[in-house]
Amino acid sequence: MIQLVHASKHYGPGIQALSDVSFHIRKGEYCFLTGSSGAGKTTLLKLLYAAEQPSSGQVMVGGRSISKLRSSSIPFLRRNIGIVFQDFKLISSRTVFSNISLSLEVLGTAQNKIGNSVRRVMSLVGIQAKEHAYPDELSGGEQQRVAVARALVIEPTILLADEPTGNLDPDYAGQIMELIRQANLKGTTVLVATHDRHLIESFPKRALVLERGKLQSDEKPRGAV
Amino acid sequence: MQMVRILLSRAIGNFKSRPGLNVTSAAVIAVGLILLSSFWLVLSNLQQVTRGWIEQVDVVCFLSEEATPEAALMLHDEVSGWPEVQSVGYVTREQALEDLRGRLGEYGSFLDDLEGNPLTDLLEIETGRLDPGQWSALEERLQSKPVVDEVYSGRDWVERLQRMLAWMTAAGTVVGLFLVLAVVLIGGNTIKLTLHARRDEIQIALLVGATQSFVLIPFYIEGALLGLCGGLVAAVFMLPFSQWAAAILLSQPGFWLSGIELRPLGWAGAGLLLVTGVALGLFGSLISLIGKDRVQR
Repeated sequence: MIQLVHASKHYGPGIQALSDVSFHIRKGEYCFLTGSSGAGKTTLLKLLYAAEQPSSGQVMVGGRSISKLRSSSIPFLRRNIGIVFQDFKLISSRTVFSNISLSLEVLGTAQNKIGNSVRRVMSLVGIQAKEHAYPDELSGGEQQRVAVARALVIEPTILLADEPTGNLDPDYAGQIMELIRQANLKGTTVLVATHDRHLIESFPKRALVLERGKLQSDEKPRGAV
Repeated sequence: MQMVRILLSRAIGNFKSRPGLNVTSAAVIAVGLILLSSFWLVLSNLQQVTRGWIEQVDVVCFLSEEATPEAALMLHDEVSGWPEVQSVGYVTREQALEDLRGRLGEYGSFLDDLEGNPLTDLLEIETGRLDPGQWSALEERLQSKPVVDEVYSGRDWVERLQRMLAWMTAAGTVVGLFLVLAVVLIGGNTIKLTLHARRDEIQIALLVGATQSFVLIPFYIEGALLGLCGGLVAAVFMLPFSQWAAAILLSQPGFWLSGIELRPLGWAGAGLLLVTGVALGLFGSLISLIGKDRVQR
């Protein structure tokens, strides 16, 4: 489902964000991407949703090479990927409902179906009471849950989450991780970028460890073969 | 169909999100269209009037005071036979005075104070369309007759008016082009400002899978809406205003004596204003979005 083959990314001379990274995540797999701040986690995720092009090597998502993808095909790749951004990327002039429904609007989903799907996912992440609120009126944790809801509402094939529990207290963090686990159980391939080792220990899964842009290790969960 | 609804609702949302800017822009577009349509109305009415005059220019042949009725009738019969002449009317000096009195109506009472009749017998000669050479030949032939005192056709005056009109049309076209440019730039600038204000939203929409069309079409619709609002305001203003201006002008003695008809802006003209507004608004947004169709990643 996701495959990097000797992928590198540099921004001008001397700024190497990723260096010769190779790994393969199978369909339906749940995987952590970890490492300290600046290790290259966000850059790697950007390569996967085609916000960036690899400087060298291959990045394959859903069997398609990102480097060979035409600009006009990028939206159709992204429609299969739910993304939870580190900075949430919520639209401040839109309500919670409207922020979540945007993912379905771009697909041309019927209005009544949008209403049902958005309310279902708001209920899942526990923000149904905030339907008419604007992002600026929400706490950091609530904004995080809106971002997760927007990613899940399209029932994506792949879920990419960049520090999805970064602003949440342990209880809410557990709830969000459970939502992601539920999505994974339905067949969604999940890649969660986090620097929180405690989170990885709480949800033992495969962990790709990045340091200074290089893949340091590919840790299988305890008990896995 | 669902996508059309979504795009329309996004465009209307854009439109409503910046009411101050959009109202100002629509008002400026309306002013531009009002000026443009006023120019067009004035020019088309002037052209209509002069076209009528050119087609109707009759030759009036004033006979000398010594001309006897028999000599006048002989000339009448001779001129009637000329090929370029359609009809000839013989008007005696008494009939001419009565005609004048009738035309002047309530203003004609001063004629009662005149000692005698200052007018002469005349022939009113109606021709078909003549070129300048034919006009000159006809005037010279008439002037050469001994019983003719003066030939008046008003052709020189009409020709001067035509030259002035041609100049006004050229000047009006230049001013009109500037007004069109101003309307397009104002519409386009508003779209640019909206685009700038919504750049984060656009970026996020692209990240969740929006296509370029999904992002840009609402801005085209917004440009057309701006133009439609401007056109609507201009039409609502120009319909009654042009009727009122025409009524005021036609109530002036100089106008109703001449029998000129003025054409105010009708429903077709109002419709044209709306279509022009939409087209200019759309064109403005097209121009402002040039180069934005490659922003994808």
